[in-house]
Amino acid sequence: MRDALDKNPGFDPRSGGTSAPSTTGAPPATSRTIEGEFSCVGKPLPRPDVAAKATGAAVYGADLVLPGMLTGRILTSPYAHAKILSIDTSKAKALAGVAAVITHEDVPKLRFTRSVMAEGLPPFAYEGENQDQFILSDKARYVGDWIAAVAAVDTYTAEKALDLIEVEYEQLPAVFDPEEALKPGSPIIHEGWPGNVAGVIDHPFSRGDLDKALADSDYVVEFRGRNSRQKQAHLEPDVAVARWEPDGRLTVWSPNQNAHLAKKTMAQRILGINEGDIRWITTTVGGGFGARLSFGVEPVAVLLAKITGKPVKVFVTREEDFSGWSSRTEQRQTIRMGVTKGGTITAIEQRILSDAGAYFSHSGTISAVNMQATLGVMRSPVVSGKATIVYTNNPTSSGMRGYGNPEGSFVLQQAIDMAAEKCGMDPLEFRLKNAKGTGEPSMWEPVTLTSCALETCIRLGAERIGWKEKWHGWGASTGAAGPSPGGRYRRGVGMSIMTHASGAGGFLLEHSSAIIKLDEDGSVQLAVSPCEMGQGILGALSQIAAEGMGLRYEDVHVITGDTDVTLFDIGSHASRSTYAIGNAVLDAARQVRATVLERAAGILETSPRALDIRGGSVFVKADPTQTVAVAEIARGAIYDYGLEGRHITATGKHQALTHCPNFQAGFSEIEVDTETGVIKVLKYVVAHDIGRAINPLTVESCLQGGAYQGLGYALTEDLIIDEHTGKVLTDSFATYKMLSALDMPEVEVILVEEPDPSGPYGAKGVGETGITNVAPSIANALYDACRIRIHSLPMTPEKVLAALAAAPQSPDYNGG
Amino acid sequence: MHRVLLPFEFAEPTTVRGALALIDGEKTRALAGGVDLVLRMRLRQVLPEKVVSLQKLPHLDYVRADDLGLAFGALASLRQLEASRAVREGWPLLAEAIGSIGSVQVKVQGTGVGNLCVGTPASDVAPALYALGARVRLTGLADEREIPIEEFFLDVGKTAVRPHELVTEIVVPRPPAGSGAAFMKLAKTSEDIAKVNVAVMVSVGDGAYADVSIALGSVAPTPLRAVEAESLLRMAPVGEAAGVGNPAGAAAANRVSPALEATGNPVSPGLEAAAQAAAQAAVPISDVRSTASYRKEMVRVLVKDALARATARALAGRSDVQAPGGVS
Repeated sequence: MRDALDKNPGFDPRSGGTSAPSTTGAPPATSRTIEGEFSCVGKPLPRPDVAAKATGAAVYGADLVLPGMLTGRILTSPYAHAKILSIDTSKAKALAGVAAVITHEDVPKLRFTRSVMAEGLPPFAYEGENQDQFILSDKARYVGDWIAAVAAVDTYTAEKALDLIEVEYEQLPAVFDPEEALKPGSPIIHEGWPGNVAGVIDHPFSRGDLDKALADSDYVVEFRGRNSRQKQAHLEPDVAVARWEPDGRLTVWSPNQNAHLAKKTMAQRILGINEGDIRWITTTVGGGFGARLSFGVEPVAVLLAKITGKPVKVFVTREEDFSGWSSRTEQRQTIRMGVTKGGTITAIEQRILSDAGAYFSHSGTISAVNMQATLGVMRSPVVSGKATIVYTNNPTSSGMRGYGNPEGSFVLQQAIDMAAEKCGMDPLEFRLKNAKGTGEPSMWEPVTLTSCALETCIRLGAERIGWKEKWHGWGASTGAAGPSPGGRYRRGVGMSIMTHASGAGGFLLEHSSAIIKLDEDGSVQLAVSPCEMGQGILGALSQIAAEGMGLRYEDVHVITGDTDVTLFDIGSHASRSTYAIGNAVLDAARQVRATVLERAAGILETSPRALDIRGGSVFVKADPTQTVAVAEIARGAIYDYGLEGRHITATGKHQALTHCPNFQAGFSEIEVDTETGVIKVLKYVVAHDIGRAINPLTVESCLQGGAYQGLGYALTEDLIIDEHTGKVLTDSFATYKMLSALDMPEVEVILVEEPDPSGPYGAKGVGETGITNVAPSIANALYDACRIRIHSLPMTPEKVLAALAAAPQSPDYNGG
Repeated sequence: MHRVLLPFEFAEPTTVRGALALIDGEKTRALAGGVDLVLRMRLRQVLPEKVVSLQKLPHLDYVRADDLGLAFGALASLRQLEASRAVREGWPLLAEAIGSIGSVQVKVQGTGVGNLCVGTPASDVAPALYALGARVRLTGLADEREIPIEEFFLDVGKTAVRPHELVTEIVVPRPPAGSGAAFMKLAKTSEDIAKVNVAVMVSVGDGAYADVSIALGSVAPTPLRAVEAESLLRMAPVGEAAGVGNPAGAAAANRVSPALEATGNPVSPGLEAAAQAAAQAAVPISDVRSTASYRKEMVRVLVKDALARATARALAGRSDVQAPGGVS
C-alpha cells in the first residue's frame, strides 16, 4: 500500500520528487521526465523472469544437461572433529561407471575462504578474511565437512561409489559452544588460530569514554540476547556444472550471487589461473538470501571436470544443504545503553561473540555489518563495539538476509524499550527522540544522510497498528478484551526500527556498469550484472532503462548472468542492485537518449532540446504532432550507407560515493496464550523508506517475503544441533519448520516515498530489510503483553512458559 | 546422504489375495499413499527388497456410513475422509483431527489406514479413533480378524500387522446421542507433526458425564487412553465448563488452535483434576519438536480445553465441524 504518499502533506508523489522534503535543496536531477510524469517507473509492471518460472521453462542448474556430462557427489564427514588416518578409494574407483574419486590429496594446495563477496573488500580488510580451507578437507571439522568426491556416469553409480570409499577416522574431542571454545584446553580446530579465536573486530566508529558516559548516565540498561541459526532455505538446493573447454578455458554454471567475484576467487585463490580463462554463467537462481554469496559446490565441480576431462554436475541433497556451509551466524550479544532521565541516549555499547562454525566464511564481515547497523541507527555521543569471532565444530555459517542486522536488532531494540521504560517514555517517542535523521552521520562515517523518512515510517506504521489505542503504558497488562491484568490470553503491541545500507558505497568496492544497445527495430538489449534470484531486479532495471530512454517497457530485453558479456559488478547483496546498478542503467539510458535526440533533431529540423521521447516516439515538445519513431532512427543508424553508420550503444557507470541508507519501522500486535506459551501474531505492519518504488508491487512483495522470513526467524526457525555429536537434527523441511500460508498473520506494507538525491529516480534499497524488524517488535510486544523478555531466538512456547514461570506475576510489575 | 533410492522389486497386485501372497515379511513393505515409506527409503531408514503397491486393488477406497457405524477402506485418502459429509456429521472428531493436518497435498496422497500403519504415536488420526472406540480389520491369507485400535499400536513404528496380512478396513461405531467431542493439538507450525495432540469424547445425560474417553498422542511410544482421567469424570456432574453458553467460545469451538478462544467461564475443578490425571499418564520424550516437560504440561492444558470444548458441544447438541476449504 502506497498511501503514505497521500498522508504525507507537502509531498506530491507525481512530482518526480521535486517537492520531497529533502534538506539538500537540489532536486534529484535524474528523476524528471516530461511534466514530472513517469511512464514506467512507479508502475506494477510484470517482471521479465516470472513467465519462465511459472511455466517451468526456466533452466535451473539441476536442469542443465551437457553432452557427456558426469554426475558428481560429495562424501561428507560423519564426525564433528576427526583426524583422517587414511582414505581407501580403490573399491570406489573399481566400480564400473566411476570416472574419478578425489580426496584432499588431489586438491590444489591453496587455502581459500568460501566468501566470494569478500573479494569486494579493500585489501587491508581482506587480510582479516581467514584463508582456512581446501576444497576437500584433510581433517573433519564438522559433521558434513567435505572429505572426498566422486564423478560417475549417473547419480546412482556416484552414490554407490561414495558408499565404497573407506575412510579411517580418529575422532577428536569437539567443541560446539563458542564460549567453551574460547576456554583454555578446548580442542583446537585450526592450527593457525590458537585459542579458536578466528578474529577480533573493533567497531571503527567507536568513540568517547564509555565507562565515564555510563557512570554519568541517569540509567543504564543491559540486555543479552542470542539469535538462531536461521537457514536461507532457498527452494533450489545447491548445484554447479563445470566444463573445461577445448581452448583451455573453464565454464562454470552455478546460482552464485556474485558471478564476477566468484570468477576472481576461482581464478586467483583456488586454481592460480587468469580471470580471463573463466567464463561464469549464472543459471536461473532458485533463491539466494545470502547463501550464494559463498562458494557452494562449484570448486568440486571444477576439479572433477578437470580430472575427468568431461563436464561434471555436482549437486547436494536438502539434508546436505542443511548440514553444510550456510546458515545465519549465531551471535551472542550484549547491549548496554546509558540514558538521561529525559530520555536522551548517552552511550551504547555492543559486544558480540560470533560462532563462525568450522570455517570463517562470512563471520567477520557479518559482525562488522551488525555493528554498523546496530550502532548506527540511534544518535549517541559515545559508542563502543567489539566482536570476537570463534571457531567451533558447528557447521559453517554464512551471510543471510539482513546480514547482521536481524541479529543485532533483536538485542538493541529490546534494550531501547528497556531504556524507554526506565525513563517512563512511550517507546515510540523515545525512538523518535533518539533516532538519526537527514544531515546526521550514517551508519558508515563520514557519509551523512541525504534522506531519511524514518519519522514518517514510524508515524504511519503506528497509525496502522493502532499504537495510540493499543499501547497502554508501561506496566499495563492487556487482556484480549482490553486492559486487564490477569486472564489467560494477553495482547500486546511492540515496535522496532532499523537502518540498512543500499549497497556498500564508502566501504566495499562499489561501482557498477551497464551496457545498452539500441537495435534496429527500436528495442534495446540491456546487459547488466545483478543476480536475479527472485527479487525482481531485472524488472526494476528494465523499468529504469525504459523510463530513461523514453521507450516502452516491453522494448527492453535484459541480458545477464554471463561474465563474458556483462561488465564487472560485485553482484546482488546488501540491498544494492536497484540503487547501484540502477544508476548505471540510467546513465547508459540517458546517453542513448541523447544520441537518439541528436539524430532526431536532424530529421525534425530542430534542436535536441526542443524534443522529448515517449513510448518509443520522438516528438517536438511544442508540436507533438511532429514525430519520428525511435525505431526509424535506430534502423537508420545501422543501415546508414554513408559515413554516419553505427549501432547506437552506450556504457553507463555508477561510482557509489554513499551507501544511501534506507530506514524502516515495524510494528507487531500479538496475543499470548499464557497456558501454552503460544505467541499468535495478529498483525504485522512494516513501513519502509524506499525513496522511490521503481516497481511498487515488487517492493511490496519483497517486504511481504521479508516479513514471512522474519516471522519464522522470530517464532520457529532454528538449526538444532545435537550437543554431543554436532549433527544437525533439523536437516529437512519436516523438522526445520518454516511457516506456511496457514500460519501467516495479516501483513500490511507501507511504502514511504521521499526520493533520495543519489538514487535512480530517488530509489533506495530494500532487499535485506524486510526481515529485520519482525522479531524485535514481537519481543517488545511480548513484554507489553506479559512483562517477560526472551533472550534467544526463536521465541518458542517452551521459552515463553519458562519465562512466565520465572517472572514476578504482579500486574503492576515494572520490569527492569 | 543419498538422493536416489536403492533398487527394489515393485509389484502392483490387483487382488487382495495377490497382495497378501506377496507381503511375506520384514523385507517387504506395502505402499498405499507412500507418504512415509518413500521418504524413509530415500533416507535409507528402511531398505525393502520388495515394495507391494496397494494402489491397484479395487474397491478399497470407500468411506461408508450407516446407522451402525462408519467403515473406510485401506485406500481411502485422508482428504476423502475429511471431506466426507457423513464423517463430518456423524464423526466430527475424526474430521477435526484430519483437519488439523495442514498440508492438503499430504492429505490427498496419504491414506487413513497408511497413517495408522506407520505406527507413529504422533498420528493425528489415531487419538481420534481411540476416543471413538474404532476397530481395525486385518485380512490374512487364511482368515480375517478385527481388533480394537488400542491393540493395534505396539510400540514406536510397530503395529499388530503380521506377515501376509493387510489392514483392509477401519470400523468406527456411531457416537451415542448426547455426545460431544474435540480434537486439539500443538505443533510448531500448521504443517508440523504434533508436539502433543488430544482427542476426547464425552456423553452427557441428566447433568452428568455418562461416558468419557480421552486419548493422547505424541506423549508415549503409542497413542494412549488416559484411563485414570476418564474414570475421574465418569458419572461426575457436568460443571460449569469453559465456553458453555459463551458465543465467543462457540465461535472458536472449531479452531484447531485455542489461541483466540475466550475463557470467560472458570473451568470446573473436575475437569482440572481429570486433566492433571491425564498428564500423569503421559510419558513423553524430548526431541527437536519439544521437551518432555512441556509436552507433559501441555497434556494437562489440552485435555482441560478439549474436555471443556467437548462438553460445550455435547450440551449444545452440535459439532459445527465445517467442510475443509475447497469442499462443499
